[in-house]
Amino acid sequence: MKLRSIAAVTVASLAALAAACASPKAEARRPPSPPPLPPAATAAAAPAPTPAPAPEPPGIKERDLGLARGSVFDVLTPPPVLPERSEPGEKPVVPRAFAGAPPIAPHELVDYTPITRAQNGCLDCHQIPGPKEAGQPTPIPPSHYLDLRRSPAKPGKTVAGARWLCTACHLTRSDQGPLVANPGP
Amino acid sequence: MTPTLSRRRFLQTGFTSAVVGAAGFPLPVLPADASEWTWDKGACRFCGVGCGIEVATHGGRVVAVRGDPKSPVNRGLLCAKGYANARIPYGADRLTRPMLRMKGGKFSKHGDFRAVTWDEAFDVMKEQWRRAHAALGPTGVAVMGSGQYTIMEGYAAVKLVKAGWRSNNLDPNARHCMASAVAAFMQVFGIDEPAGCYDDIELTDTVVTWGANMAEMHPMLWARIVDERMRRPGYRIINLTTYGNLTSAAADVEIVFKPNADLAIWNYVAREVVKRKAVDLDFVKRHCVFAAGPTDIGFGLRDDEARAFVPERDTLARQRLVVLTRDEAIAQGLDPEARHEVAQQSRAKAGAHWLVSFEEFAKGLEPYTLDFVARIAKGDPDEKLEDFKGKLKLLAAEYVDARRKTVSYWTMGFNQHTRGTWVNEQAYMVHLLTGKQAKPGSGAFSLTGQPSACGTAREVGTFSHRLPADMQVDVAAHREHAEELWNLPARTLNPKPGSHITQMMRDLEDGKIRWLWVQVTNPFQSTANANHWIEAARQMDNFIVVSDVYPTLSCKVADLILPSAIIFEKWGAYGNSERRTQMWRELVAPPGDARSDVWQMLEFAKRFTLAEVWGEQAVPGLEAEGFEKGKLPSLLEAAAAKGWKPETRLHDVLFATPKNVAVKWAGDPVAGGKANHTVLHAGIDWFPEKALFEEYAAFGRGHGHDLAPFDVYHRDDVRGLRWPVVDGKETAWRFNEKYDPYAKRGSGIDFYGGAMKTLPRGDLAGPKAGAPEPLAGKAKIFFRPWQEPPESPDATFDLWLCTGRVLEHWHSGSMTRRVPELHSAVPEAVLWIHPKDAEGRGLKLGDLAWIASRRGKIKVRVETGGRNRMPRGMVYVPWFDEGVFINRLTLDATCPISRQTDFKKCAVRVTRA
Repeated sequence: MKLRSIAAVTVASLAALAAACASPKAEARRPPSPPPLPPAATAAAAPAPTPAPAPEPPGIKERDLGLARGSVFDVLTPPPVLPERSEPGEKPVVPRAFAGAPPIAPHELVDYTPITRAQNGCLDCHQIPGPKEAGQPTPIPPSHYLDLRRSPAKPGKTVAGARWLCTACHLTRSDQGPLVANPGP
Repeated sequence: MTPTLSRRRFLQTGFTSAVVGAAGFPLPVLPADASEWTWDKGACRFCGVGCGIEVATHGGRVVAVRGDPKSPVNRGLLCAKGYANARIPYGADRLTRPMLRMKGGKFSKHGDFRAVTWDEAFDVMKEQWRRAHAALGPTGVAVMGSGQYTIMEGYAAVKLVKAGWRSNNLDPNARHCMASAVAAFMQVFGIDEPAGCYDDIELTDTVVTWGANMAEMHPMLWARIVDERMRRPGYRIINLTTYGNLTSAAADVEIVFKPNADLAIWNYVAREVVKRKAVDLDFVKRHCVFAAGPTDIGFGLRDDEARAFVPERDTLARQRLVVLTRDEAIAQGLDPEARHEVAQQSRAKAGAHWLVSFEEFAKGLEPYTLDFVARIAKGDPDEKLEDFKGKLKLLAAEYVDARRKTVSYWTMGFNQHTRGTWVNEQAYMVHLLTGKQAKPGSGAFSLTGQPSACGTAREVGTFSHRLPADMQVDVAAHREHAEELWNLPARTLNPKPGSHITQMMRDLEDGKIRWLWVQVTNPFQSTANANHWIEAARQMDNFIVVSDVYPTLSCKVADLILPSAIIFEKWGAYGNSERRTQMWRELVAPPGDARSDVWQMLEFAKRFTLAEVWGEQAVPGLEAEGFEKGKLPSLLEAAAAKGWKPETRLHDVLFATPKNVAVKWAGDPVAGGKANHTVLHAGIDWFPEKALFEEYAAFGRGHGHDLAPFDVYHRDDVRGLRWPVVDGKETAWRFNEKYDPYAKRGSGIDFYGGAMKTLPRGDLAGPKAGAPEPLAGKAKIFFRPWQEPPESPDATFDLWLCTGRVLEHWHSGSMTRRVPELHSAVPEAVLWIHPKDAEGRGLKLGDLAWIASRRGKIKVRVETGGRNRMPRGMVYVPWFDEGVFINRLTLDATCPISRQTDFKKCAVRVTRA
C-alpha cells in the first residue's frame, strides 16, 4: 500500500513538475503584449535609394558578454566544483595580489573550518614567530597580536580577538582559473 | 586529519627579529616603488559596515589597499572583500565605451551590441525617452537606482526624475534590501535609521543575531563582537537562524527556527516579558504607546493572474484569499477545527495602524505560549523539541533580565520577508517593553546591507514615494518645502507615489513602463521571479539603458550599455549602518570613455527643455488636493516668472544653478591635488559633487538629519561622522537626551520623529470612531501576529529555498567574481542541502542537480557540507553567480507595507540532472 502511494505521488509529482517548471517562454495563458509605441522619429525618415551597403563589422553578441556565456534565456550547466584538497606544505605559497594583501591558504581548509571560539586549527601551525622560513608555515605577523582598538602599542601574547576568525580575511583557493584576466599591480 | 608532528613547530612565546612597521603592520617585501605610493583615505565599496580603508595609488593606478587604523569602525582590519577594493577596477572586460544594439546602422532590439559615442548614445536614449513619454507621460519612464549610488549620484537622480521629469518612478535596489527596516522605523519612531551605533558592541552584555549571518555579511562588525566575547566571559551571543551558519560557529547558542516563525518567537518573548513583569513600566509609560494594524494584507503579489505562468496560480490565489491553517487559527484565538477563509481586503492599506490599550496588546500575545511557539517554530526536524524549548527560554531570559544590556541585530532575514515590517516592529516591541532602546549598549539595531542604503537611498530619498530628509511626495508640506529649496514653481512635484522596483518590473511586463534607466545595480539578476522580467525586457517594445562598470546580466538584457566610473574614479560619499557619512576623493582616472554617473545625469539633463517636461502632464490615478484629477499642471508660465524660457535646458534649472556654479573647482580647499573627471569631461569650472552635496544637506540641517559641511569630511583627522552633526559634534545615540541635541531637555528619551504621530484609537480588530490622538515624543509598541508565508513546501515542491550571499562575493558578483582570488575561493554558487535530503534524491557532494520552483528551474552543483548546515527540508543557494541564476525560481512576494521582496522562502524541488 505504501509503495503504491509513493509511486503515485512520484508519477503525479513528475507530471506536476513538467507542467510546473515554467519555461521562460510559456505563453499559453498570458495575454498578448501591449501594442508597440509609435516608431522613433529617426526611423520615420524615408530612406533614399543607396547602393548595397558595405557589410557591417560584427557586433558583440549578448551571449559573449559577461561572466556566463550564453543568452539570458539559456539554462546553463555550472562546471564541476574543484575544491582544494592539498595538505599544508604540499603546495607553494600563493603570490599575493599586492603587498599587504592577506596571504591565501594554499592548502585545504575543510578540516580547519569553521573556526569556533574554542577551536582555531590555524594557530596550531601559524602562531609561530617570524620570519618565514622556506618549507615552514607562514608565521602570523606581529600586527595580529595587537589590539588596535584598546592597546595599539602593546602586543599581546596571543592573536587578538578581533583577528580570531582567520577566514574573514584569509581565503581558500581552488584550481579554477580566473573568469576574466585581472592583472596584479 | 591532523598534520604530522614532524612538519610542525611548537609554539614559542616572544618574537624574533620580525620586521614591524610603525603601526605594528608587517612590512612584507615591498616593491621598489612603494616609497612613491600615495595613500589616501576612503570607504569600502562593499557592505553596510562601512570600513575605513586607505588606498595606495601609483602611476595612475590603485596598487594596494589596507584597513584604516584610524577608523573607529574597523581599526585597521578588513575582510577579504575589503582588500579587493584594490582589484575591482581592473577586470579585463571593464566597460569603456557606450554600446548600443544595432542592425542596419541604427538601434534595433534584435541587434548585437556596437560601440557608439556618448553623443550617439544620448541621442537614442533621448529619442526613446520621448517616445515613451509622449505615449505614457511621466509614469512611462523609470530609473532603477541603488544603495550603492554615492550620495551625490542619488541626489542628482532624485532631482532629475522628480523635479525634472515630474515622475516618481525612481526606486533603488535598496527596496530589495532595507525597505522593511525603513517602514518599521517610520511606523515605530516616525523617523528613519538606528538610534544606536557600533559602540554598542563593546558596551552590551548580550548580542542576539536574528536572520543575520554577521560572520559572512558584516565580517568586521562580527570581528568586534567575537573580540568582546573572547575578552569578557559574561558576554553572550545568541544566533537565531533558519540554518546552521558561520555566525553559529562563534555564538554561544544557536536557535534554528522555521521560516516565518520569527514572528511567533518575538511574541513568545514579549509574552514572557509581560508575564514575568519585566516590562519597564516607567519607560513604557513615559515614552511608548501600543498599536495594531490590519492583518488581511496579502503578500504583495500581483492582484490578478493575467500574466502568471500557469503553475504560479495557486500561490497567487493567496494574494486575495487565505484559508487559515490550524496553527494560524490557534494563533488568532479561533477554532482550529473550523475552516476560516480570510479575504485579503486590506491590501491597499496594509500600513494603516491605530492605538490600542496595553490590555489589548497583551491579549494578542496570549496564544504565544512556549508549547505553541516551540511546536510551530522549531526549524530542525532532528532537534528534540525539549532542547528547542530550552533555547527559547534562554532567549527570553536574556531580554527579561533587566541587569543585562541587550542588542538585537538583524538584516535580510527580517527585511526580506512578506511580513518584514512587522518583524522589524517586533524587535522594537521587545526592546521598548524592556526599556532597552536608545541607550549605550542597549537597542534594536537594524544592520544595513549595502554601503550607502542609509547615506544615499534612505537619506536622500531615491524611492518612489520619497524626497530628501525623510520627506514624502504625497505630503503637501513636504513637496512645498522641496519646491522652495529647489526654486521650483509650485506644484512641480508629482504627489502620486511611483512604482517600487518590483512594480517597475511588472509595469515593464504590462507595457506601462517603456523606458528604463538602470544605474549602479543589476536588477535583472537581483529581482525575484526573473523569467518574467527578462522576457518583458527583451521581447516587448521598450528601451532599457544600463549604466555599469562591467557587463552584467542586466547589460545583456539592455538595449544600451553606458560605461561608468567605479569608486575612486570619482569624488563620492557613502553613509553606513551607523549613520556614519564618509567621503573620498577621486584618486585615479576612469578608463576609456567611462564617465561618472553624475556626469551622465548632468549631460543627459542638457537634452531636455522645460517645454518637453514642464507642460501639462497626464498621471493616471493622480488625486491630490490642489491638483486636477489625473494631471499635473503646466509650469511654463510660472517658469517664465523665474526667468526661464520654454527652451531653457533642464540641466540649467536643476544642476547648473547660480548657487551651484559658484562652487568653483579650481582652487577648492579640499581638492588635495586630486583630479575631477566629472569636471574635466563636462568642461565646466564648478564642482558638481560638492555643490550637490551642500544643496542636499540643506534639507536635513536643523531637522535632525544634520550633515557636516563637505570640507569637514575631507579633513585629515576625520573618519566620517555620525549624523546628526550639530556644532561639529556627531551623535552616537539618538533620542537619548544625554547624547542627542534634538532630544527635548528633561525628557530623558525623546522619540521626536514626526511621521505618523497622530493616530485614532481602537482594538485589535480595528480603529474606532473618535478624534486622533497626538503622540509627540512617543514610540509605538506594535502587536503583530504570526502568519504563514504565501508559499510553503508541499508534495510537489517539498523543500524550502533560502537565498543570500557568501562572504567572498558581493551581490551579483559583477565586481568580486572578476577578482581572481575571490573567484578562486568561491568559484560558483552551490546548493547547500542536508546530506540525507541529497541522498534521498540520489545526489551526493559535487553532483549536478536541477532545482525548480513554479516559476523556473536551473542547474546547480550539490554541497552537503561546508560553511552552512542545512536542516532537513531546507536548501540554500547564494545569488552571486549569473550562471546559477537562482532568482528565476524565487517568488516576487513582498511585505505589503514596505514592498520588499521575500527572497528567503519559497518552495522548490531538487532532482538529479
